[in-house]
Amino acid sequence: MRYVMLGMVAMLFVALQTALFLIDVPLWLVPQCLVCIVVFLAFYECSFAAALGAFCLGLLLDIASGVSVGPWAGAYVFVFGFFLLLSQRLFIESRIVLVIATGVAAVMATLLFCLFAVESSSVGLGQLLAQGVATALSALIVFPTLQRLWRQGVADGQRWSASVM
Amino acid sequence: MSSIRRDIHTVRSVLAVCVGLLLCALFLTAYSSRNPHVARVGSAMISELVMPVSQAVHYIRSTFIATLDSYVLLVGTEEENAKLRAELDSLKTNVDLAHELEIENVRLRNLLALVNAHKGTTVTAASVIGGDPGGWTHSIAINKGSSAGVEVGMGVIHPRGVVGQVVSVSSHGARVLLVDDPASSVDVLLQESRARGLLEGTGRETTTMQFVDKSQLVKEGDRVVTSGMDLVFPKGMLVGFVRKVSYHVGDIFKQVEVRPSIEFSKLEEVLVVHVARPTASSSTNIGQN
Repeated sequence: MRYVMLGMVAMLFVALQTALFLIDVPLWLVPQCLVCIVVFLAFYECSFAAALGAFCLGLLLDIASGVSVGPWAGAYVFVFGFFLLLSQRLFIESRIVLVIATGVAAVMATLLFCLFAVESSSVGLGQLLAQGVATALSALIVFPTLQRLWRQGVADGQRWSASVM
Repeated sequence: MSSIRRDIHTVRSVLAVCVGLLLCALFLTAYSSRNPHVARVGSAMISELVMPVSQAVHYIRSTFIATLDSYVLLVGTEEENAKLRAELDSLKTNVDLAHELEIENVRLRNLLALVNAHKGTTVTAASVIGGDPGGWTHSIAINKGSSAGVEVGMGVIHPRGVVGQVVSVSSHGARVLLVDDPASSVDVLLQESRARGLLEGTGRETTTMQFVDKSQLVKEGDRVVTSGMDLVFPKGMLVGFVRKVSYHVGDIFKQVEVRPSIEFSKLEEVLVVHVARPTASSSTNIGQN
């Protein structure tokens, strides 16, 4: 249930990111909302499903871009693993930590994408940082929403399990 | 959530899965770079799924831009609007003026035709500038007085008929007693039967023709014209139409009710007739007035 909800949220984010292009927002200012989900999963869900979720999110972005399959999936899985390890040493309930971590994750994901992708466009440092900042700021909205959805998903899952048993 | 205690073994297991997935991703990347069509699989479906949101954003964007453009275009419109309105008002006034001049031209042509129809008669054209101040007498004020040769007793006519008689004159104006005033009387005759009579006002919409012999044939709709015998009005000027004829046994005269041919409230220009003055200039004064 939780992952279905995350999938729907991810689809919405992809749609929004696609739509932002229409209103002439520079691409490097479009926040990587999916990275927020990846960081969220890394911080709050340590499971195979979460790793697979991060992979699928990347795959979703790859398929949506329609250029190549794999770079974003690999980047997101790497980011997930990195922040999964880091989450053991961070006070993840701090909003500042979440924001900074998300910003760093966005920069890292983009760099990894450029590394993995066979034909990637050149990314300037300024643009990279700008997108990191945009993503970090978007985390202020995305994280509370995801936390609320996650809790609701957990509760729904428990109720569903109880009703089945 | 912060209370989640993660087992180190679980973390390691997940990280191992991550490594596996990373390799899988690298493999996919390498494979899709050689087979670009793989990348397009599902892309259309994703596009279809995100289409409604894109369309919604596009609609919002278009509406926003249209509103913004409209607003930007509206800057200065108020001033331009006011300017155009002023111009429109000016043009409307000009059109009205032209229309009024056209109507006035027709009226003056009729006056001229009337003058031509009574050659040898000296007339003075005048404009009606007011009615009766008291409201109890039927009279009008005209803008020509003694300075223009207007004198008391002169007749006043209009292309549609007799108006009345000058009763008072100042240097630049005169007052005309209308034929429907009870104090007014005009020597008239019926155009067909040539029966003579005296037209007197009643103070109402109609006048009465007095002293029509009972033997005279009078019928409704007959034209009543001036006789010219009073030396005030030219002979044959239309005064009105017979509206009603009555006769009481034993009476000497018939009672003839006459409806004036002129609607006095709508008079604008009139001619003051000088026929009563044989010594008056034979030239017309229309051109001068």
